[in-house]
Amino acid sequence: MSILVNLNLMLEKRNMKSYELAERIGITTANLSILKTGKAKAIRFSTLEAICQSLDCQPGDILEFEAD
Amino acid sequence: MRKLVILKSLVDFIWYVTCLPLIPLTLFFSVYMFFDPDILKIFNVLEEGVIITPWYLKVVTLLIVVLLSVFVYSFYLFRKTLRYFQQVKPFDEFVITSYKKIGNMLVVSGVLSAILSFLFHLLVKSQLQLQFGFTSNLFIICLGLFFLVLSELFKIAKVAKEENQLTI
Repeated sequence: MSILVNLNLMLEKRNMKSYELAERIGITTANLSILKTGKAKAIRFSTLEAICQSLDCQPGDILEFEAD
Repeated sequence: MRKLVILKSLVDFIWYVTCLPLIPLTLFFSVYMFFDPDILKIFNVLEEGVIITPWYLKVVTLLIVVLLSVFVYSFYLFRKTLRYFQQVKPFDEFVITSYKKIGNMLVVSGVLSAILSFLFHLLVKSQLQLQFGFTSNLFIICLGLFFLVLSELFKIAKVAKEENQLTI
């Protein structure tokens, strides 16, 4: 997949655990894991907004485009 | 899902009362006609004064048995897919492949039975008969195509469902 999810990197920078973020943004850890592993097909604006708010970052910090 | 329960009960009833006894009966009939050709009189063709060779009638009967088996198998698959609906798994791969199989079988058997009926009237009764009305053959072809369309729709729905599940 050419869109990479750098959620792990941001979590490390903010010193936050996955379950904490999941709790804060109101999704299950299983769904967060799908997002982190790049298995997700799409991400809702509301989820992205919540992640950015919780991690105090921009969407570009989480998502990255990589040419095949 | 009350309607599904009614449908499943009806399909089960038809399966146990009509289809299951039909399997040994057709098997017995298709073997027995080679020993006693008089059994073919039930078609009422011989009594109408039409002279046909017994082998010809046997081939036609065998083809009818094959078509009947196809219908029974299609019904069996349809009955099985209803179980998946009851388990709330309507987009399972089995349902999609079964509907495709049912559709293909019904279309082929519908076309074949139409050709068979046309040739039977032409060669045996010397009648040129074309049926364009609400005949069973056309109805079977339409039903087969409906199942094929349904299979395609379920395939699209399965992808949409997967995408929805993987949208975070």
